Amino acid sequence: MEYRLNKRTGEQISIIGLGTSYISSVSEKDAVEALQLAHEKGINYADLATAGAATFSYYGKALADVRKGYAIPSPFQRKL
Amino acid sequence: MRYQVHFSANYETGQYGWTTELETVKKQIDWMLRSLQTDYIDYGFIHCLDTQSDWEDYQKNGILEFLLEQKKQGVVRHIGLSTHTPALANMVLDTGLVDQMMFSINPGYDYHHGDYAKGSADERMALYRRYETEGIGISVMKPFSGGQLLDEKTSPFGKALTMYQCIQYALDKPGVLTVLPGIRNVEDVRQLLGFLEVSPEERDYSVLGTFTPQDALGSCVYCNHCQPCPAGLNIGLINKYYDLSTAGDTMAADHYAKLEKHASDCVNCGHCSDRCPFQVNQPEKMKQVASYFQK
Repeated sequence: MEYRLNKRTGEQISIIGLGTSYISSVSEKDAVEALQLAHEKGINYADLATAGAATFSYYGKALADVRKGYAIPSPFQRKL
Repeated sequence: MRYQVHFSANYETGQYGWTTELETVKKQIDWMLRSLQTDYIDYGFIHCLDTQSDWEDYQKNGILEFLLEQKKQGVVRHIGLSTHTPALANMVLDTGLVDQMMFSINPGYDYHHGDYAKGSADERMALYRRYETEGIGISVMKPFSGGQLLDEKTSPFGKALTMYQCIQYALDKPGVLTVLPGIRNVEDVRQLLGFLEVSPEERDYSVLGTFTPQDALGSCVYCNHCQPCPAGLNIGLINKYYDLSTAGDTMAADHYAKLEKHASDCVNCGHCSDRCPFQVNQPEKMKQVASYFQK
């Protein structure tokens, strides 16, 4: 994978990322396998403006553990 | 994996919808985070604004304030904007809030074809340069114009382009960091990753020059089809640094200075102009660039 730098955030972003328009139309198994493969191959950026609600739980199932690795402890409690 | 999450997308019905009600936005963000099994958002997006009144409503209804509050609390790391409209993009960029922008870029939209072909070719290119100059990244949505460009029956050019040509086209635009094609399964992901393996010829989109509209001809799009230059100039990069510098990018002159060969090394042989699909008079351009940078 090749990466490009966002100069304002300092983050290296893969030149190929994921759009999620229709991933909600496939089974959870297919979606999770696809997302895990993308992660393994170095894709590190995904958009979540998607056609269907299922996309969010598919990402959760596939990548929640990976996301924990990125997290920086925050002194703030999430308040919504 | 970093996520772009959109503040005002609404999935209450199970399908995509759009809301400007603050309470619904709050509930939706909470639901998205729980479904994603995560407690942070890398890029919290001001979602899909295309008119000035969209932007005014977004502020008036408190959604922008909510997004900024989430950033202050550390839930949102950075702010993004998704839009299809250059005029609106410029308006929001003026606030200085935005670190990343999702914009629809493909040869169809850039050359006046398709639902989201907003702004002239020049206006769109000027916007991409502005992102690069201000260090804001672009993530590209609709790189294939919703698939239209991949089929000769639907392509506005009467000719199909390949996925890889479209991806390269988007990646060559100033400011672009990443292209986001839709995927559904492992085969789709493998096909996308194929981009990294194919030859430069398979990524070459110079065929576009044969159907570029008049107002876009004569402008370098940095496709590098002119290579190899007999005098060793990187003509695409020279053009890019010049365009960025004249758009106000203070780093561009430095980058230019570090090039091995400069516009003043042009021997005026015309090899580049003969090859240029976009009818750019490159030797003339090199004179202009050499006089601007004084080398």
